[in-house]
Amino acid sequence: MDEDRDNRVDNVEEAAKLVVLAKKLVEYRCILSAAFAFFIFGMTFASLVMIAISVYIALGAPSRFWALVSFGTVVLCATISILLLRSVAPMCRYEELGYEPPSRLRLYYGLSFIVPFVVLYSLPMPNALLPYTIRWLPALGIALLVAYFTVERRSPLNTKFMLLASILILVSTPISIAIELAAPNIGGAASTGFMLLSYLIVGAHALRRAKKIFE
Amino acid sequence: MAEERAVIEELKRLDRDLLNPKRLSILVILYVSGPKTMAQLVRLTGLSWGDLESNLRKLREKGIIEMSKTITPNGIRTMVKLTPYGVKTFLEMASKLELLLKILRGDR
Repeated sequence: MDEDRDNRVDNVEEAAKLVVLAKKLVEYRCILSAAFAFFIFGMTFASLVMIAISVYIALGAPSRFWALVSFGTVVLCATISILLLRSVAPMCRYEELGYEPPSRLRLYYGLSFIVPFVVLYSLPMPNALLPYTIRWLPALGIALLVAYFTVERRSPLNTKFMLLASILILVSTPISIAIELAAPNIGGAASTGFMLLSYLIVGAHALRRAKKIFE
Repeated sequence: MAEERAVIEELKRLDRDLLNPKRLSILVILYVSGPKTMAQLVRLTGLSWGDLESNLRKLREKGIIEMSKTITPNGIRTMVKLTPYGVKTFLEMASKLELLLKILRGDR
């Protein structure tokens, strides 16, 4: 009788180890997915922004068209990033982590990446205060901050990747403005560099966090 | 003694149907790597087609999985995936087993 119970306990212990490993693997996949998102989005965004800025400056287009160029770049970047993430990155759904997100979550997520860009580029702000060529940087920082408060904060993984990225980007914004004002048209390159650096830091932090799951 | 009682109580509360090694391996595969075709499950679990079908039937009756015909590059295949209730059940079982594992590790 005792031996039977011991065998049963042993079997359950093995099952417990397997199930705990499965849970860890899904957490690992979800955090890797976040890291991939930063790398893919960062590289797509940086490459497209640099091309857009170069072409824009080379053509000598007036600043009033910059909003259109920027919006087009963001839409193209989002489309390419989503397609790439869906096809090559490990995917993660909150349901797998025991959290059922409200149906509005996707809408919030989408809006958080649209509204800040529309607002910042529509504001009648003097170019000397916030140059057109770098307005996308604070817009991205605000977008990430909003996305953190509306979406990421609810994640059962308790990650703060978007918050960290938004802080890094918002902190680097004044430096980009100073560079742009000191050397016109160079601030765009600096902004791209700061954005890439921020995403690199957050992506690396996410990878480190994923690695820790199995330590 | 109290810990042993706690282990026994947790054991009683677990769904034994799901703890069956074959069904558990199917659940773990579907949870970790997402929807799979029947052929993929046969390959990954090492079960025979008949064995897999009978275990999938039991999981389906409990509402843990759902099966649907899907068009794949290799033709029409039966896709097996966890239902939202299946994910919830799996995670509940995982929490209980995790607790049990902690008790057992403290016990030994």
